[in-house]
Amino acid sequence: MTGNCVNLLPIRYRRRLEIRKLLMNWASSAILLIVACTMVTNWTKLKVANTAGKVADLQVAGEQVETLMVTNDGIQEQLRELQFLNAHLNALVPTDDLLQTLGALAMLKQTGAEHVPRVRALSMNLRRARLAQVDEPAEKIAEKIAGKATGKATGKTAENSNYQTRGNRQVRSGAEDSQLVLSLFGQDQAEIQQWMQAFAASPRVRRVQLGKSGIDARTGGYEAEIQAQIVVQKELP
Amino acid sequence: MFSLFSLPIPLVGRWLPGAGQQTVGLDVSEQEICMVCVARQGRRFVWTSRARIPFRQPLGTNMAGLQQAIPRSIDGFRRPCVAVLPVSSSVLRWPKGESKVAFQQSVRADLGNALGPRDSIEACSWPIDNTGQQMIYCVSSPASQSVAETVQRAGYQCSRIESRPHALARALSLESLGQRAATTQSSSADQQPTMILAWGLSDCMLVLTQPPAAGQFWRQPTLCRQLHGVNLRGIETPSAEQRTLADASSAGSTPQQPRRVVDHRGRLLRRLIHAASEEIVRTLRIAEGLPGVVTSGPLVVCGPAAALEPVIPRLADVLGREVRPWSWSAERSVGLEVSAKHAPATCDSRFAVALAAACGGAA
Repeated sequence: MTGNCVNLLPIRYRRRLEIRKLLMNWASSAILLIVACTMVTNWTKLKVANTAGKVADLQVAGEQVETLMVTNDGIQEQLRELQFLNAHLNALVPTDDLLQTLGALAMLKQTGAEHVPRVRALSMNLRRARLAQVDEPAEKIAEKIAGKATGKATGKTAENSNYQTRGNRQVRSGAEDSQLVLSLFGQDQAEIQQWMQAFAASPRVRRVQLGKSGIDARTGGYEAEIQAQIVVQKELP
Repeated sequence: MFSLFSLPIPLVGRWLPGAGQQTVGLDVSEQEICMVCVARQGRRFVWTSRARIPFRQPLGTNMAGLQQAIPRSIDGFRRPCVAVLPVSSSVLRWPKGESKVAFQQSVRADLGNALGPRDSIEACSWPIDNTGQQMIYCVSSPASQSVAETVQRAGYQCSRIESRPHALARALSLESLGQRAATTQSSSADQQPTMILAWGLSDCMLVLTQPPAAGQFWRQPTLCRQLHGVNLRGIETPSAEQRTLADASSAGSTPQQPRRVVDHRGRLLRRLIHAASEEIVRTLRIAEGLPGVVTSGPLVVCGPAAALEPVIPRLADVLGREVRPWSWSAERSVGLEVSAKHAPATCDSRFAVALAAACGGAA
């Protein structure tokens, strides 16, 4: 062992010193680490405690929002049910054209069966004219129709081939004017005019006008074309 | 393995400014304990404090007393400490072809009570000449470990026990550095000291050194001899009261008792100086027979004997060469200086070994 670095301590004791020094250094490092971690943890806890008030306010606001969201969900559910029912209802309700056609056929059938059963309708053409103005309640319209019916019963008839109904006739809500073109076949002209009078007396007919007419050479009968403006009420089944 | 796991060690050392850079040198002898604290600032050493504690008890049986005698650190930092064991706990041998067993037996016989029958020894060796002969310095392992543990318990980090010949060679390097800076640059190599005599209260050791190699500062010991029977145990330094009485008796107006004490001390000291000079001459004769051992240059004396007035001139007269006390011209030295805080204290020759041990630990 030469040189300046002479150490006369036993090697075992030197190793023991090195190990002790090593452990002490690591222990001090661990203690420093623990202290640092404790400080960071306490700082985080303090930060969490400071934000607890804000969290409570946000929770209250969140509860209100949650209630509104629940209500909104209910409303949305009701809306979906209503839309579902409306879709079903629309599927069940017949179209306007069908209603008008059926209404016109019903009027023709009723007129012919009650007054002139021998007049036959050869063809029928129904066109939608315009939407009726709805200004009065349904009860008032019903009274007016009833009054017109009373006037018809007293013998008031059309004076010529143009059977004009009263201009103040009102229709019910949802009613529609339609142009009806009929091709009639009767025995003679009188029978056709009688049928027109009976048709014009119907409360749903506004105006009846006789178009082309003449005797059918092939059959010997009387054939006439009638243009009428009728009101067809769209009613739910 | 230690280098990997000791990663935080330099970090912790750097976190303690000042304390990690200071080293304590402890010279434990039979009569007193000399303690020096040296701080390293860059390439310079700064001597910060010193202490000399009387300790007149056998070392091997009174470790608790040694622990109580060592002054504690004020700031609580565990500074690294390098200790030097007393000569009585060590032995210096020059094996001349002895077998290993015979050498160990002779070493055990020389250590005597300092080494138990089953105790081991710690040794260091170095070449003394170009022929390959070696000097061996041995200390008792239990004594070494006990001193280290005691110093450790006293609040220092003692991980090194220094060899006394190496510490003396290092002290000679410090002394020659100061002298070279103090004198003119025309000093030749022959005027540089190569011998140092550590003359203590209980022991005396002569160390011959070789000049440092190129690029090295510290000297290496070559031939060392322990001068048996030469100690100052009976020659204690007179107290201030005795010195006053002696001065008064010399004026002829006081009792004769102090004059007798001074005369007795003078006769004993002359006898000791004569014995020491004979041993030194004998050692120089041995050294002259060894190739490569330098015996020229002045003799430097350190220890309590250097402070006794008749020692230096009498030794110079007997040896016929320059003899000077060890002194550390710190304020004029190149590598060492005294800090401003502790400037009033001077580092006399008693602290040569402790200072050299501290500088060796800090270097």
